[in-house]
Amino acid sequence: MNYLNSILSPEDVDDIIDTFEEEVLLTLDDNNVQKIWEYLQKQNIDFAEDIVIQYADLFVLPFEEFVERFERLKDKYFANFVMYLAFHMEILEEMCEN
Amino acid sequence: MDSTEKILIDLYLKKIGREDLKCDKLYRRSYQAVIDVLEMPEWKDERFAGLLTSNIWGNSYESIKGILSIPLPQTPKKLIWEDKRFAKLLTSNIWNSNYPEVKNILTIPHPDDPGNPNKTIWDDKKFSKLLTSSIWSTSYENISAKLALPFWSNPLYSHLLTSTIWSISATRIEESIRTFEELGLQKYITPGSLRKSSIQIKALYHYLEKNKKSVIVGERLHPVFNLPPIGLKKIYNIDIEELIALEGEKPTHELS
Repeated sequence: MNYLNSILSPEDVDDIIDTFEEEVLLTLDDNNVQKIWEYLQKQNIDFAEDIVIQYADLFVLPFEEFVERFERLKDKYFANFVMYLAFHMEILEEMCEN
Repeated sequence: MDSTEKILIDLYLKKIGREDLKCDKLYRRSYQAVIDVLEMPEWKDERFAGLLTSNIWGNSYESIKGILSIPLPQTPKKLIWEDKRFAKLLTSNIWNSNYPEVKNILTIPHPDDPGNPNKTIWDDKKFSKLLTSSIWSTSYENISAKLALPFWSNPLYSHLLTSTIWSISATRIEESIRTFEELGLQKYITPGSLRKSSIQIKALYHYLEKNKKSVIVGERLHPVFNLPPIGLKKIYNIDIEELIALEGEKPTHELS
């Protein structure tokens, strides 16, 4: 979780630790997390921190798989996707399914 | 790792056009161990070809081989991956797990009939939404513990049996459900709202009440229950830390 420590406040990291199973957080790979983070930045998502805090489990997905599922979500909710996601972050639950 | 071995690995990956497989964990394996994995005949099988990704290197050759060769319990001559329910779980996320865990997870006995090896929880429709590749980030022990939570016998909560529950701590799930029950909102709990802590839920509930806003909007919880702190601030100008501090200051008789 070194990369998460570098991009989030200690309080936000504590929030993540309190929310998720330890064994899930232990599978977080710093390089993978960084790649996903940078991908979200490129998508012009200025609330990427929100996504990490609330959906840290999605960052366990290998980068390629995360992108595939995220792009599928974009295709499904295409119009103004980023704005829609900001107001309806619960659609990320769909990325937990296959 | 010996620098000669590293060079040999890099040269081999370049030769086969798979430099995408490089990562830190790769170089913790010996050259021969890497070759053994790369030359597995399983990668020619279209079911498995997509699984050869850089996160495979956390597993040994034996674990990888074991995972790809798990037999179908009722028909051992066939692979478990021929079962459509399990074939969809074949994503590179599987390398977050290992052979014993994968095997045990795929054959978890049904809680109502634990002594019957021919009946697994995956045979029960009630648990079907739980079977996604997210399951590979958790363990057999965690899955068993989550399935033993008292809520699932209540039909009101059957919609919460989604793969989200694998990642969220059992304590958080229990805390969240109990809090929504306390507030009379059990009908409206969503998988996403399970991510919220008790004090966050109460703080938001009391904020909405105090500002005379409806907690339920169109038969659903107000959207604030699905937003993390930064989203609350940006979209609703809600400072959740302030609300939590206020919630914590309430005399006990006022806490609902």
